[in-house]
Amino acid sequence: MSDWIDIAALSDIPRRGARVVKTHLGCVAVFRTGADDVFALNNACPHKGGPLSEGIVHGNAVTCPLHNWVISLETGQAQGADEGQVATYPAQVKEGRILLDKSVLVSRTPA
Amino acid sequence: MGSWTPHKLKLGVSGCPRNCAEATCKDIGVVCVDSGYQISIGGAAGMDVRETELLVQVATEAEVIDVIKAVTQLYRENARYLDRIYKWMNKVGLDWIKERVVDDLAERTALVARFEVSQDIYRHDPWAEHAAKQAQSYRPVADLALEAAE
Ligand code: FES
Repeated sequence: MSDWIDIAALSDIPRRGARVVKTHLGCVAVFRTGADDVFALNNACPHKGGPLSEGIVHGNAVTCPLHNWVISLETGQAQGADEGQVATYPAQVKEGRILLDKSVLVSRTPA
Repeated sequence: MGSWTPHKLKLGVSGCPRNCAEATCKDIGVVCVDSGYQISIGGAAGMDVRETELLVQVATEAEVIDVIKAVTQLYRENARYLDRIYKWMNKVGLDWIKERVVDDLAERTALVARFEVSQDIYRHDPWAEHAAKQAQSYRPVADLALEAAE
């Protein structure tokens, strides 16, 4: 059963920016796009673990700050010729607040 | 940082003798070597191209900072407007500078103190204000690390 919890205000994240949420399995990056959509992904690039939250957001994708892999915010899939995928989590915005599904975040087990 | 000088003042620091920062054609250059830090002054790489001349080699980082502050202050107090260090050095001589910032430790200390006075007024950390107001915005927005699975 989903358990939506209030994480922060949408305005706490700059447009085309990200903030992280600490969890028992490392940080989850919460992105806000230029169009005010919000996505939650593991904050570790599938390539070599680069901090995606510090990357550059363009459209619905982020470019990893370490070696420029482009990761889709919707699917977590590496774009172009690169292969890899990062876990994504349900996120929504309601009345200017960002909600994440706590049940998904806390029930994860180390891969 | 912020203090006025007779002309622009370029500094270069290289972490090893391969000298990637090209410290030996700056107004003040530091090259780190096994036995310490070589501080040299009076380089240029514009209309005039000149290699720096060795001012002193010191053993600690603290001495490097003091020597650079002292030579900068000596330059501030004595050089003509629009004279880069190498032009000033041509007029007063490297030995004259060495006597004051290398040999005479009391003079070095006094120069450093006077440089600090100017920094008190001019030093401006462009990030301090931002950090005071915005530091929170770089921290995690939430911490679920202690939430237990049900
Ligand atoms: S770690 Fe992200 S591109 Fe290499």
